[in-house]
Amino acid sequence: MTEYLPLIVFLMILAVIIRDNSALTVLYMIIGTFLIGLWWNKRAIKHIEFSREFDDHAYLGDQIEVKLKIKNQSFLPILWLEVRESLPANLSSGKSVNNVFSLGTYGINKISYSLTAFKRGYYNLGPLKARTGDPLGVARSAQTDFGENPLIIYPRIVTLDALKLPSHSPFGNIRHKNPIFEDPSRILGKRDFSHGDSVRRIDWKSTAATGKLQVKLYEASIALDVLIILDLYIENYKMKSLYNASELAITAAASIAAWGNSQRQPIGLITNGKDPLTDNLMPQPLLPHKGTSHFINILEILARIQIADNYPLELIIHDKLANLSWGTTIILITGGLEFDDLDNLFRFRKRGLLPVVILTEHVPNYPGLRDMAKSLSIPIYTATQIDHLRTLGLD
Amino acid sequence: MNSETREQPPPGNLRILAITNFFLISLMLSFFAFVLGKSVTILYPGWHPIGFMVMAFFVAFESLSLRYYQRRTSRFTQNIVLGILSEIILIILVAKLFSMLSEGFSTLWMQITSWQEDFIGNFLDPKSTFYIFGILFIWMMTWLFSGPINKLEEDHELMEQEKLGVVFTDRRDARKKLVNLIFILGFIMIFLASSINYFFASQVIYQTNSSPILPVLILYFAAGFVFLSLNQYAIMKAYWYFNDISVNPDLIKRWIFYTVLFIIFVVSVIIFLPKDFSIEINQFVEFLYRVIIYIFSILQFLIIFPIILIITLLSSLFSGEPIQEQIQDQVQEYTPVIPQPAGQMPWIEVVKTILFWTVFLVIIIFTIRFYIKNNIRIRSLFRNFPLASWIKDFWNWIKKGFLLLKQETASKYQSGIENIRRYLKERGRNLPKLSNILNIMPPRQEIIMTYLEWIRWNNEMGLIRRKSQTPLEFAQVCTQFNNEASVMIDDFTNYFITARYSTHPIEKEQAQEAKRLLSKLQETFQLKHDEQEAESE
Repeated sequence: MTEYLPLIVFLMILAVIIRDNSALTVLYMIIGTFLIGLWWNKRAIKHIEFSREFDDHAYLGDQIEVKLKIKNQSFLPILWLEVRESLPANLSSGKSVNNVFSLGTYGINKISYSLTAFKRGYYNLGPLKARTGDPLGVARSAQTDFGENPLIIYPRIVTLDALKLPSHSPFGNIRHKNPIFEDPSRILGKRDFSHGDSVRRIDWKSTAATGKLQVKLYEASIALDVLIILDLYIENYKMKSLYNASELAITAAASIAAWGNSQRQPIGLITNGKDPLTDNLMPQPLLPHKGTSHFINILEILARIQIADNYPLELIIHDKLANLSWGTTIILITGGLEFDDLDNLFRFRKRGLLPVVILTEHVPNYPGLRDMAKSLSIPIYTATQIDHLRTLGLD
Repeated sequence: MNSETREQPPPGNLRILAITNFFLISLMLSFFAFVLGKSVTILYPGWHPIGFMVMAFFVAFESLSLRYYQRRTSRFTQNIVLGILSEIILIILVAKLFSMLSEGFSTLWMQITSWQEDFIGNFLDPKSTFYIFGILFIWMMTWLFSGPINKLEEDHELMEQEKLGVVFTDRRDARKKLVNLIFILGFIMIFLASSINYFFASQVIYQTNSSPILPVLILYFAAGFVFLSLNQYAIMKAYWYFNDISVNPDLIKRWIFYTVLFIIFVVSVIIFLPKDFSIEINQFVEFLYRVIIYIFSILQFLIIFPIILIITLLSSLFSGEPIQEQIQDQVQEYTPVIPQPAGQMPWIEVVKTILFWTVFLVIIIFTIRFYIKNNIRIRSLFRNFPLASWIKDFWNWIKKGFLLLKQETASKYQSGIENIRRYLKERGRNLPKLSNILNIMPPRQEIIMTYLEWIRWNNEMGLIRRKSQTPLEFAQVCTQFNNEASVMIDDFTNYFITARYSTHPIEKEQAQEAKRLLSKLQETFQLKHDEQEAESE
């Protein structure tokens, strides 16, 4: 239609010169249709409000219901609005969310679709590309992009029924057989005073009631401060099993963190993977702390973390473990282990920390490593499949 | 997956759409026939085209419907030539019948009997010839419309084949042909209408005879635009179909509704647009020039008057002459002359003329600008023009000046509003500044407040401290961001930890040192932020 514009302009000037009002009226109508169409096209897209509602955290296998709400904020109706939602390939089952509809004055349209959390990770839903136009197609359709929203899919968590970890930290809430970890806050019972009992143990109330000196018996308990070291250095994984082994390592870390949280024990996480949220830098170490919010922080990092080639394992071990409290259990989850790594871990053992190694891949020199670890009193577990994790700790 | 369905529209709806298209084309052609008939009456005043418009409508509708049903039939299985010939004969007979009826029933039998004597001469008498050829012309026009309109039909079987790449239908080309047809016919109608107006104006019977032509022209273009809108829908629908985009079933109803509303709105707007003017453009420009001069002279008067007044007062103070007369003389010199538009015209005419020329010029300028902006050929032609770069620079300079003026005005206005708001908000309050608060605080609180200021500043700069982070953890984050300032960060954090978590006495000097560290840290971090921004750019 635009090719007729010069002719229309010429005719308008001609109509003015010969003072033909009817011709001018009709030409005004043609040009008016054109100009108002253009204005409509430009204005309509500017007054669209968009929102995306969904649960932005999900567990593996969950169905995520996403609701898109598109609202026309103007009195001017939108003749047609084409919307295309960009979806992460790992979550959608091949179906696309492309719709065309009309929006009346201050009209609202709701579109809902569902995604399946097939794979853990940090995803972005969107952007939603919207396009609109005028009824006559006088101008190129106006288009705009509406923002993205992050979605975090947590890693798989496996129940670790058989997991037993060593600890030397007293006064926790896990029962222990060793009487050196007696906890004065857990009273097991009372007995008569005998020679050699500490005066501090005397229970004066019971003594007054029974008329004989009574002493308190304490239950032994330990606190299990756990620091998970998740090694995602690419060199420590074999190429052919890179994906499976690294994902299994992440699952193992998440499962141990969940186990620690259920036991109400302080859990921490250090990893050398890359975090897409922080420009692919190594995430900040999370030192052992109790509480669900801390556990959720760990899970979020584990959801986002990716295998990387920036920081070898030795670096993070040396840098980050210096400030740990005595008796903390260090669980190293890795795909490959060298004798030097065991030496490093033994150095920490000498400083009062308790290292444990979980291998998510078969290592070629395993018998030698196992013997060396045994001699250094460092437990090594191998879990190359999900099922192995469930029986972790049963030798 | 979606709330909408991907079902195909029922065949009934498609048929209604096709019938609507045929109706609109027939309507347009009947309007064309009306204007054509009016024009012929000027050439041949004895001819009265009664029922010509209605006849044109039915012939067009019949022809379009026939083409629609014949669109898939093979040319080999049907005798096309024979079909067309019989259609022509039928149209001629019906046209002749209508032409005879326009003369009245009484002459009908007489005319039929006259065919026996001289068939050609009596059958094709001048009145009937105009009628028959006019109708045949309309019939031929429908042929031009039927080809492209059938191409734009929403035929799902064909579209499925197209999707697979078996066939291809150039829908855009078909629509272009339709646009051309509508505009060419429309311009012919405008030309004819202008000629009729001119003719009747010269015959001084303008008011009685030509008044229905304008509504007919408006209705023609209104029908044409609705028709083009439906074609646009057909093209978009095909596009959405090929791209697997689900379409709301109500879209077509709304499309038609909004298009009709749009056309009604446009027509309502143009009715109120000024189309008459009393002052010619040269006079209008002259008037504008005078108005501008008038405004400038007022401004000049306003600026110069106080200066003259002061000078006069001062000079008379020293000369000892009477002041009153001198001032009056000076004032008379600067009294602006009020511009008088074209003679003694009533002010309403002047306003109408100003409105007309303003609207007209704005429309013309905007349209030309849009056309040039969207036409690559003209743009490249302009680029090669020797003075193009100079004109472009000049235009950009004016545009920039206007933008600058706009920005300046907006910022001044904004700052003025802000100042008023702030004044109203803080009226009656005498809030002390942060530095004043710090000065009257004990040193321990001073350090804590300084640290909080550090956190707030970092939050603003994008280095956000999470609630779960301890001061030492946050210090680590800061060190990672700017490793060079690690010593300062550690010292500053230690000051805070000592002030916040210990019972050690805190001296004024320590608070001063913390404040110094804060300003130093802010300086180095700002530099780091700037560096990062420069890198990202």
